[in-house]
Amino acid sequence: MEHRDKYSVLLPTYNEKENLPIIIWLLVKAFTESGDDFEIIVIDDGSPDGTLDVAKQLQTIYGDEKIVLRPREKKLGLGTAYIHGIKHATGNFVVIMDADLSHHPKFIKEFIEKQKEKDYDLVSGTRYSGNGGVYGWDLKRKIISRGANYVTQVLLRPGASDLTGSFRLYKKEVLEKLVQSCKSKGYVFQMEMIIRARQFGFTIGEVPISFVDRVYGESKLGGNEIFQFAKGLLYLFATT
Amino acid sequence: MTKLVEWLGAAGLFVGVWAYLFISTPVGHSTDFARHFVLFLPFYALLAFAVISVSIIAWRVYTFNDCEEAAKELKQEIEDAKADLRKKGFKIE
Repeated sequence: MEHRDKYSVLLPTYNEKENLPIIIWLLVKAFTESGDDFEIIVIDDGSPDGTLDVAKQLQTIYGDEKIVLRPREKKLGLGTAYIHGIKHATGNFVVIMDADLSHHPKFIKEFIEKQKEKDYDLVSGTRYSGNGGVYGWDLKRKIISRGANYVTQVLLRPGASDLTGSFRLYKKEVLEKLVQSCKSKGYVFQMEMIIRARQFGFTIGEVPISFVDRVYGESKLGGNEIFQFAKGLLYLFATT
Repeated sequence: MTKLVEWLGAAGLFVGVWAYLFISTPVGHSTDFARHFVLFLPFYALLAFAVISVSIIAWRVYTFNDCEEAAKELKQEIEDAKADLRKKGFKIE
């Protein structure tokens, strides 16, 4: 009996009424082309803009086996969104990504291939190595990004080039274990996932990705974010 | 061992070596430069580290890939997606 791989894509959403149809269309296209079995689990945190209704429309178009809806009442954070999503995932692999079109589904095929190379426990999309990169960042943003990444590399020596990225492929049981052991929020949460993965001895592969930022300018990388990042970094420095 | 403990250990080692060097540098007129250098060794080491770090960061910012193609591609795909979804009965505003 052949055991076939299935990929569950977790898509936490908040006010993504415009982007959700596009990202789902791109996901369906990517998986149809690669031939891999998949499902998309939309975890909407009570978006006031009607994202859930859009998701329901897409479900009638693509079927409820491909588009699974697991909404929540209100904004409850990424870590719990993953936990919630994994509970309903029927795949043996989980893809996490952003729903705002900054991550392109065409890279998932490369994640899958990379994973198969050495049976990696997780594959991380990196903006910082190979021909990875970013669109839409000005000089200031690039400096902050590279500077923060450098400090993180020096202090934590994590063995991965992009720690704050959130476009990754995990074996389901690996993601389960990691999410349970991570306490941080925001950027630091993604960092902690990689650090804990190393602690547990999980293997990490990397794939260069392009990150298309269309919201930079609306959302700001403010003093508070930087402060939270520094706090989280020190926490990881002192405890791992 | 946490990273903090590692760094404290490395710092302790550095202080030990530095103290030894300082003590074993002979006192006397002609060796004032050597003594001065050893005394300020941590400062010079930090300065070197700062210069190297800034250079590395500057280089990485300079060579940060700009994904122009990806942005163009995405723009086109958004149009394709909207058209195809409309055909499939999706109500796009």
